[in-house]
Amino acid sequence: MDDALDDFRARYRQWLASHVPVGWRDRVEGDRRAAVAFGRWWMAERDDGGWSAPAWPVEHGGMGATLAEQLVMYEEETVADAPSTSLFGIGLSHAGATLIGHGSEEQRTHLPRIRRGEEIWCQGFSEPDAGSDLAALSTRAMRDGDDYVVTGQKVWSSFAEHADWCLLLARTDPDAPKRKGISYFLLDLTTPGVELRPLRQITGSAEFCEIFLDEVRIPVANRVGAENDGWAISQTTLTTERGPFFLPAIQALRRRAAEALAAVSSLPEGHVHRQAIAADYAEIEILGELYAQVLAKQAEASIVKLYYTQLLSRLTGHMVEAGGLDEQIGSALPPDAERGGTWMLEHLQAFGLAIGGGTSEIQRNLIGERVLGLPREPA
Amino acid sequence: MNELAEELRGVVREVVAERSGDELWKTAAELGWLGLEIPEAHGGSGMGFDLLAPVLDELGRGLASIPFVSSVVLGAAALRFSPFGDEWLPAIASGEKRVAVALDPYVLDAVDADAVLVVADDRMHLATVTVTAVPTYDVTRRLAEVRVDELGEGFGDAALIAWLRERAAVALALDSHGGARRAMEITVEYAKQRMQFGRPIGSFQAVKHHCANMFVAVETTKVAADTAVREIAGEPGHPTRWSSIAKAHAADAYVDVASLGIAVHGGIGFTWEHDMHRFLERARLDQALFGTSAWHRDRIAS
Repeated sequence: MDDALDDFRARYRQWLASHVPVGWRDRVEGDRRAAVAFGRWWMAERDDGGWSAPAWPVEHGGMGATLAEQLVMYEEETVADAPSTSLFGIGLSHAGATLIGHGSEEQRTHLPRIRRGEEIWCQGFSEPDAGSDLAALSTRAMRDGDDYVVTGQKVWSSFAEHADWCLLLARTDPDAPKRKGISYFLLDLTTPGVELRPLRQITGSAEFCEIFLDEVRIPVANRVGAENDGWAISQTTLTTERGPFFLPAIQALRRRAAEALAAVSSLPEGHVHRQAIAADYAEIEILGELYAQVLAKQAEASIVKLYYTQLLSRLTGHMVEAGGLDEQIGSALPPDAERGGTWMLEHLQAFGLAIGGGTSEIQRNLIGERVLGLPREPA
Repeated sequence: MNELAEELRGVVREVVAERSGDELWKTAAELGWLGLEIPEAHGGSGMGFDLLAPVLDELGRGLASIPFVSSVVLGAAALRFSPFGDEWLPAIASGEKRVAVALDPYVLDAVDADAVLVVADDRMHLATVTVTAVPTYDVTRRLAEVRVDELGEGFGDAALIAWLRERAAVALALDSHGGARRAMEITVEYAKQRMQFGRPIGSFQAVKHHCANMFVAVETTKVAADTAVREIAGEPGHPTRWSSIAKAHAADAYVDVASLGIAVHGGIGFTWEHDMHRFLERARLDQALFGTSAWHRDRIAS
């Protein structure tokens, strides 16, 4: 078993060594369009080598990789400093899981294009008045012959600026209870009536977009599953296809914690910064072990999301404090300047992570109700 | 091995629920818990720390008052590296003799101990001592001042002492986990039963979120303690950061959980009759014994 895994690791390492372009970072530095084009090329390159879509079943052109193999791949990509595939993340995880689980034969023809980086996907779920209460969404889809006519507004769509397609939730029955009247669509973002506006966030960059939909026509063939079945479909893909979703983030946090610990270890014993960072480091190591267990058990991931974002905020906040005035010298603008790597920017980023994908407060509700069995708050 | 540990855990939980004090100590000896790690040649069963772990966890859960940490986790372990093993180890395994180990200025379980091991000049000593009990807020355990009258022959080295400190730290991390989990369970149960404003208080987010935070503290404490148990399994000379990670996190988490437990219980949690304050007092002592959380955090960063 372990021999097979070692062999798998060796093969992937060898492939990466001969395929990761030397000096690729210089090519894409400061040029978003070049970075997107390069990302698409890299996805095709991976697919040619048989290394795309690790989590997808083999019959859909994926690798059918085990969790252990996926972890190995991530580790090797870090070691090799391989290009990121995060731009294609929604396609590979959510779109992939949705199409494989619920898509028609015709809809599944997207799968090879997702694998090869020919399609970038984004998610059109949240709305200005439907955040934590996602089921309250009000974007309306009205049947008109072989089309639905869709009008409404979506927000917090990561990478939408570069996306070709969008996973869209819209209300098809306004009279049904709120979770029963939602349908799931595949939206071609080049359709007339679609307008994207980048949304600048507190870190200065514009990773998110607002999506405005004005009488956008979506063919009935692009509805996933039955009409009004969209909520259930969105929930299954949100919860079952997490896989090693947090792994890169948690590994990155562990590296940062080790750097922080090294930075304060020369301070005298009992020093407030040494104490604070040591406590953060300890809990981040615990988080690493906790995550390994949660992955192995396929258990409720709320605790990981909650704990990870808390610790990210705490560590970066403590390092901002320890850095004093020096750490305040810097700028989030212009957004395309070299980013990451400063504690202050990472600290700002942490606020978004504690909100997106279910706020910390929502995670605590989930733990209270689903894990501890506490009663729901009456509506 | 895991199955054996879980089986043992079940037995300990039942026994601790029914017995306490000297009666519990006698049963612990009869059931072989005191000799778990003592070599078979000395009347034990020659198992490892991984089997002490469920016992420590359950004793913490039950707020038990027996000198298991002192005599078994520390005393017997130290004496295995001494010339006194033949004399003392069988007596510890049978529960006939109890040993305390002076790693702190106030010594856990020195009252009623048949021998106190003290540290001097990087060696352990089976010393002649005068023991004076001191009062503690945690009524489930006893501390004492120990005056050394005569050091006696030394044994072991700095590595042995460091190893004992790590074992003590992990033992208390397990104690903290056991107590914290029980305190959480009692609190969650209460939050489901207690009605105010016409509904269970656990339906209110303010209370529910306290409970969720307790859950995170307890689960992460378990992960930390389990990892530390694996890392500490060997002999002296292999120090690990995990003993400190587990001790500092577990004791701090225990204090947080017990504090939230009192808050969620409201007035009833402030009464002497209710157990919740005993968890808090035990947590505070866990936090202070065998290296404070601050001491362990300094060790993590060194």
